[in-house]
Amino acid sequence: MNAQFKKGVLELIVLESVRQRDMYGYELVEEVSKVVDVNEGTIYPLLKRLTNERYFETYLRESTEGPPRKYYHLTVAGILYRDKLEAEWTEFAARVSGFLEEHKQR
Amino acid sequence: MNKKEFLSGLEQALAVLQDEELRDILDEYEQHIDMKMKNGLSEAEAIADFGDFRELTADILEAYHVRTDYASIKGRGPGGDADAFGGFGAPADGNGVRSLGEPLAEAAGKAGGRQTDGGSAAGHGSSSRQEAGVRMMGAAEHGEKEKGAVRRLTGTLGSFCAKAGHGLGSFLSWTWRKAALAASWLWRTAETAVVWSWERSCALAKWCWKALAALAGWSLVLLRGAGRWSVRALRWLWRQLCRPVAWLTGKRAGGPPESLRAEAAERIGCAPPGAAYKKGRTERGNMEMEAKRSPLGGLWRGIAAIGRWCAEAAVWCVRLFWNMGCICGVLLVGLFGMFGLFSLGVLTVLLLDGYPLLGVTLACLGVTVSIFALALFGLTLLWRGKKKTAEAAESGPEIRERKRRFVKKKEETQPSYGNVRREEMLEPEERYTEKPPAPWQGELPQENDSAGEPDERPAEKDAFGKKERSESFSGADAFPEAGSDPERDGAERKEAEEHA
Repeated sequence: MNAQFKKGVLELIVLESVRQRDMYGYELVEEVSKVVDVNEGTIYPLLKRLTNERYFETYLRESTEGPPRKYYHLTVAGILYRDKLEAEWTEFAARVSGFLEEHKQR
Repeated sequence: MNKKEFLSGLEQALAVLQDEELRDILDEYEQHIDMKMKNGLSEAEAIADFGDFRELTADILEAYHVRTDYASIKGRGPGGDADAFGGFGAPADGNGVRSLGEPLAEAAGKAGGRQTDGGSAAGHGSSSRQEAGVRMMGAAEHGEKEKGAVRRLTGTLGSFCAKAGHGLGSFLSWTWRKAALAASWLWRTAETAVVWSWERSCALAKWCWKALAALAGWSLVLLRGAGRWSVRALRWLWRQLCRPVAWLTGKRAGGPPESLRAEAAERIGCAPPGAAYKKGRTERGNMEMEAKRSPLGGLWRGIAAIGRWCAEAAVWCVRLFWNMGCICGVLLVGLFGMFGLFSLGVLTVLLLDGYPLLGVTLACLGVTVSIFALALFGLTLLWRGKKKTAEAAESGPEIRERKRRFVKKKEETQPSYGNVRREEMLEPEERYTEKPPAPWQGELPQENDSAGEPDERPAEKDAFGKKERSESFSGADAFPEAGSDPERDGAERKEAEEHA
C-alpha cells in the first residue's frame, strides 16, 4: 500500500484504537499493524506528538511481566479531534470514490 | 546494531530534548525491544523493525517541533538548546542557567576568530613577504587549531553549566510540586475538619436544645403535679387539724348539712336548735341533755373528749408521719426516675449515632419504667382518711346545693315534716345562740319518739297521695346521702303525684 495513504490514516487508526481502551505502546503497535502495515518506528513519534498536543494523556501501571508500562488514554480533546478526523476521512473517501466512479463510467 | 548501540545513538540524536522526555523515549523503545525479544525476535531484528534510524530521530524531533538538522549543525555543543538566546525560561526547565553557557561559547568562538583574522590579515608583500606569508599561513593554521580548542573548551563549559542549571531547575520544580501537594492536602484536611466539626456542633446543639425542651416539659408537668398534690396534701392536713377542733366545738362531720338546717329552720319557723334540743328528741338525746346539765357529767364528758382527742391526735400524727414518709420516698424514687429518664435520652441519642448501646438502652428503659411504677405504688400507700369525710369535704358545695334544692322542693310539696326532722335540720350552733327563741309553731315530739321514726300525725293528703307519711317518708329521705340524686328522686315523686 502507498506509504502516503498509510501515513494519512495512521493518526485516525491510533486515535480510534485508544478510544476503545487504554493501551501501552507495544500493544498499540500490534493493534495498528492489524489494520495497516506501518513502520513501528513511526508509531512512537506519533504517540509522542499526540501527547504533546494534549490529545493523549499517559500514566504508569504496574506490570507483572517487567517494569511499569506507560499507558495512553484519550482525552476529551482527543475524542473531538478523532471525530473531526473521521468526518474528514468519510467525506474525503466519499468524494474520491465518487470521483473515481464518475470517471470510470465515462 | 544491538540494543545498547541503538539506545545510545538515539540518546545522542535526541540530546536536544529535555532529560525527562529523553529518558521517557528511551525507556519506551527499550521496553518495545524487550517485548519483541520475548516474542522470539533478536535484538537486531527488533531494531530493524523501527526502520531508518535518521528518519526515526527526525520523526521524533518533529513531534517536538525541533529542527531535524539540529544535531548536524556545527558550533553547537551537545546539550545546547536552540532557544538559548531566547532569554531565561521557567526555572523548572533550567534554561536560565543553561543559556549562560551559550553566550560564553559564542564569545569564545568570536574571540578565537578575531585572533585568527588578525593573524591572517597581516600576511602581505615580497619574498620576505612570502616568507612572512608562509609564516602567516602557519600562524593561521595554528590559530585555527587554537580556535577549535577554545570552542571545544567553551562548549564543554557551557554544557556543564547547562546540565547544572537543568539539575537545579529540576530540583526546584520537584520541591515546588511537593510543597504544592502538601499545601493542598493540608487545606483539604482543614476544610474537612472544619465542616465535620461544624456539622457535629450543630447536631450537638440541636440535641441539647431538644433535651432541654423535653426536660422543661417534664419539669413543668412534675411541678404541676407536685403543686396539685401539695395543695391536696395541705388541704388534707388542714382537715385533719380542724377535725379535733370541730369535734371539740360540737360540729359533726356527717349528718345533715348545716346550711340546709338553717334554711329549713327559717322556713318552718322553728325554735332555735338549742331549745328544740332541750325539749328532747330521743332517749339518748335526753340522757345527753341530762349529762350536760350536771357538772360531774360535764367533767366526765370533758375528760372523755380530751382522751378521744388525744387518741385521734395520735392517730393523726402516725398517719401524718406515714404519709410524709411515703411522700418523701416517692419523691426520692421519682428523682431517680428522672435521672434514669435523662440517661435513657442520652443513650438513645448515642444509639442513633451508631454506638452499639441497644442492650444498655433497653435496660435503662426497663429500670426507668420500674422506678416510676415504684413511685406510683408508693403513692397508693398514702393513708387517707374516712371516705365520708373526704367525699363530703371534697364535694360539699355541690352536695349542699343539691340538698338545698331538694329540701326546697320538699318544703313546697310537704310543708311540715315533723318535729324530729325540723330539729335535725337546725343549725347546731343555733342551739347555743343568745337570741330569743322564736315561738315554736309545730308540735312537740313525744319522749318515746326516736329520731328517724315515722311521723304519727294523722295522715294527710300529701305528695304521695293516700299513703301515710310513716310509710312513705322517712327521715333519711330529707337528707339524701352523698352520691344520691335528689332531683331524680323528686322527679320520681312528681311522677307519682301526677299518677295519683
